[in-house]
Amino acid sequence: MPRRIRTATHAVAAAVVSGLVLALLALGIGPVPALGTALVPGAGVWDSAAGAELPHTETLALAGLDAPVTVAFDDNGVPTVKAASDTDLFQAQGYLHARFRLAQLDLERRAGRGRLAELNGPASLESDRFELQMGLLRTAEAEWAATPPDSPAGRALTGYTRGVNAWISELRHNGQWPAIFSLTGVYPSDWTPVDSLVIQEVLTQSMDFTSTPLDYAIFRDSFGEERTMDWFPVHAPNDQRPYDPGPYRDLGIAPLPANVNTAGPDGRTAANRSQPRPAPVAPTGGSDPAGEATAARTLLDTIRALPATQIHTFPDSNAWAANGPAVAGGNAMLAGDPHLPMTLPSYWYQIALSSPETNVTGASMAGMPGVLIGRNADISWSLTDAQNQSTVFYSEQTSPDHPGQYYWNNAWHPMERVEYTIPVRGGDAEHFAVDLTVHGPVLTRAGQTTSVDWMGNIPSPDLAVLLSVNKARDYQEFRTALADWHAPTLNFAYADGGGNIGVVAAGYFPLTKGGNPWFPLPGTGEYDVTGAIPYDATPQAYNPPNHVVATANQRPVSADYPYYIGTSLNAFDNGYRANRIYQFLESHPAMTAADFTALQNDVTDYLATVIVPHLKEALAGTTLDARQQAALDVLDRWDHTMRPGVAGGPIWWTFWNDYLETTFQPWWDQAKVPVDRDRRYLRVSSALPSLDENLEAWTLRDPANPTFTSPGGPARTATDAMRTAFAQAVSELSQDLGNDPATWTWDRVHSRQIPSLTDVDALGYGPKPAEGDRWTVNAADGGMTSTFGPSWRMVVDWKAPGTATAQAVYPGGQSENPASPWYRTFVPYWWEGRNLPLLMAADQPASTKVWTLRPGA
Amino acid sequence: MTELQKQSTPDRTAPDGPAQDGPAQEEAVRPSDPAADPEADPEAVRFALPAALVGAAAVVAVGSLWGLWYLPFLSGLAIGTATAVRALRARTAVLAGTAAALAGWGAPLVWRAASGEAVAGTARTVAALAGLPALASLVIAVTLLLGLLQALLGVWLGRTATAALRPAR
Repeated sequence: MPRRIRTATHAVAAAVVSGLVLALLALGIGPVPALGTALVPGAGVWDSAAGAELPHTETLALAGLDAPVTVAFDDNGVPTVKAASDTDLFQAQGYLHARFRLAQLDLERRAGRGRLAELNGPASLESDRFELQMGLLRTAEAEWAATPPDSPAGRALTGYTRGVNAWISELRHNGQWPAIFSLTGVYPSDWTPVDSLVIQEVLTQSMDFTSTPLDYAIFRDSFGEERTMDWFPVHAPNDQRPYDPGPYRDLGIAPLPANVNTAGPDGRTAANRSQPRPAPVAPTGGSDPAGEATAARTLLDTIRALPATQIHTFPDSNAWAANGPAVAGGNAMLAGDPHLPMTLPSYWYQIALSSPETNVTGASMAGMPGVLIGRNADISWSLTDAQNQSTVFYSEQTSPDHPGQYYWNNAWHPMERVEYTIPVRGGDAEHFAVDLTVHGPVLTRAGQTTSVDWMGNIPSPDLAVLLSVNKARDYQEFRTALADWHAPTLNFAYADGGGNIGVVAAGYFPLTKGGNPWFPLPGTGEYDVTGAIPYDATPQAYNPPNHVVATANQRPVSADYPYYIGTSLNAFDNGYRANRIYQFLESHPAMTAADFTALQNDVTDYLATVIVPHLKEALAGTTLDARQQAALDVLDRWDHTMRPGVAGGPIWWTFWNDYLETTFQPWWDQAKVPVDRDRRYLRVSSALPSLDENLEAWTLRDPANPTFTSPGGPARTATDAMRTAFAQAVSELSQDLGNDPATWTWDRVHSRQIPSLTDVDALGYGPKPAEGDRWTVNAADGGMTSTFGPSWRMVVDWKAPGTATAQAVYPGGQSENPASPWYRTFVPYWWEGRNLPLLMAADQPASTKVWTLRPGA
Repeated sequence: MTELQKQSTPDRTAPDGPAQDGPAQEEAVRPSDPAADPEADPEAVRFALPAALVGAAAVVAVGSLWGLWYLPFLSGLAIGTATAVRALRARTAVLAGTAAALAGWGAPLVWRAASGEAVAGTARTVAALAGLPALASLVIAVTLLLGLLQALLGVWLGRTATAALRPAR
């Protein structure tokens, strides 16, 4: 080859390779980000290193403030904010949330708005489609439209939004974005009040949206309706302790406001959507169980793939209060530990807020102004999930002869359509359409056109209520404020300095015209949601005569309550934590804050205390091999606690799960239950409360229940099943843990993990061996590597009106930046069961890190 | 003769054809302008090359503060062109480009760490977010390698383009 050609060829090759590499670095490709801009050392992700630095005393300018605000940080990063008005107070709170939790805010709003794929790529498309169907954004927009700008909530949201945007604006100038933005090159847009309400909706969905009717549809398809209701009854057969034992009042039905996610005039005015036009032809006509089961399986595939923070998983919150002789000093005490998916960063951001109008301290939720759980000068409160059925599924009647229509109230009606474009990082944007019926959004057309009527789609002025609760001075003001709380339905536990305690279940408990709402209902009009339980008739308790009240997701009322509120299947907890809490509270007079803290960290398995004696009876007189005898000896010495280092826990836990399997699995196998569609709630396991409750009740009172006899097998009793399960458990544990049952300690099989919100293992905490199981007060749910548990622990000890000492802790830290010293600050305290002082603004000691926020550009 | 002088002196024993040292496979170039021959002023070369290196590294470092991530490539391009014009060996160009890129992108990281910024923590975070083992050294190494890669590409292009554009004798 002539030399000139070779030279030119080399030059062209160098130019092409250089061009390609530079283009790759500039633009990225597929999931690979633009590494040039991301990794340039003077900017890019390296700028986020500055965000890990701890604050120091300085003066900052914040546009929109009316007067200076001070923010004093303690050594753990908990800020005390003092402002001259609530608007300034919440602007400073928005600034703090953004400063320390911006990535979390953006991830949460993306989840609710259906924009995760824009950040994460195609893997998040399913989540985006689902949330756009559910309509969190449409509801949030309607909520904001219904919020008067001059109302306390309107001003709070406006100020909060200004605070978030102040930090976003600073970041646009200094480039110190959290690393996830610099790495992906996808930066957050300005915050809006709707974004805060979207986050409120995400939390509402995670606590209030239930797929129980879908599981019921599959069980009915597998077992038939009669057996399904035998095994998954409305009322659990075991003994539980409702916090509201009655007497009850039937006050009729309260009307519901418009669900903005429905077709029809109310929905249309509430949400901006296109004119009706034909939807695709639905594949089915009227409803049928097999079609419903197909629809259920399809939907469950989607729902179970959602991130843990977007779905309701386990019922594990606790809150209790005691007063009078039950507490030392005779006033009142409150304990609260709401259980949520544990993540880093946490849902919670601890803060003390002080203005002439507001004086409150506790756990704020990143994305919202105010304090969600905490205390003010006069009252304290905490939350548990009410667990009622707030979601009703409808099987819409459709026909190929009426494309885009559904049959309702004896006529064909057009579905309405809302259209979206979902941006996808590293892929083409997706066009997506959501169809609405009078019941709500259509979630699937597989097998059966299925829509959902969810109470979370009714705008709920939660923020206005929360701000009123933050200012409430007594139970009357507290309860009055909660009357406007609609979703999620929660139990608000209460104690005040006047020595009063109580619990109020606030939110909508929907009622249908007829039918069994735990199954998907026909959508033809006869079974529509017609209203809700009137607020005065919802479960409530105030100053009970035994001086203690506890809510732990158990059914809050007894079987003679005149309204339907849900079933035993993964709606209500099986009551073991509540029973244990009542057992403790009623056996400890003159309790102190230390007693309440001890109870929060209690790891006694209540069901074990009930069942193990029966197991021992069943094994008495039988011939055991040496290992089985050694295991039984361990159980004889065991104190029923699920503690690390204590032998006995694994034997009990494995036995119970084998007992369930021995009893129910043959029936599941015979019916070919499609457990893969929802392994959490369809397969036989202790995560199915109904099965635990049945087995407990049958063991105690009905040992000859026919369920013990496997289909086609010889007759068996509870005793036979327990012996089989025990032998099986010992055999399994021998294989896993060795031959010496005395060494089978709980920490060898059980651990806790606090995953990162980004789902990146290295940014989380653990897994580490840990105590607890799903039924202990100190709950550890989500499997043998538990990721679900007490997300905040608080104890408030009232000494007199206006005087209290309080402590709290949460498993996380104030900063979301993994490089910050405040990323995991509280985890060691939480892990050891220690609480830290929860101080009001006036009680905060002098700080060495103080921001003075001044009005400015 | 110092090591630098050794490197700067054209290898008169090398045959005409592709240079064998360094990743850039370009033609050996001859001085087109006698005035550009480094042998014309060895003292100038002794100081010019380090000065040019420091300058290039400084430009790369300062530019990175402005997000100008492609400066290592441009500095490599300049080095490649200059060394080709001056008929310096490819090895010299590669070493100079490497030094400029590593110093230019390393200095801001060192400065950040010296200022108390959590460089290692940030690197671990980025590694984890990227789905890599959460090792700080990994992301720091990748960062420096990106700068190095750019510089070497620049050197390659600079030298080959210069050779291609040189008028035929």
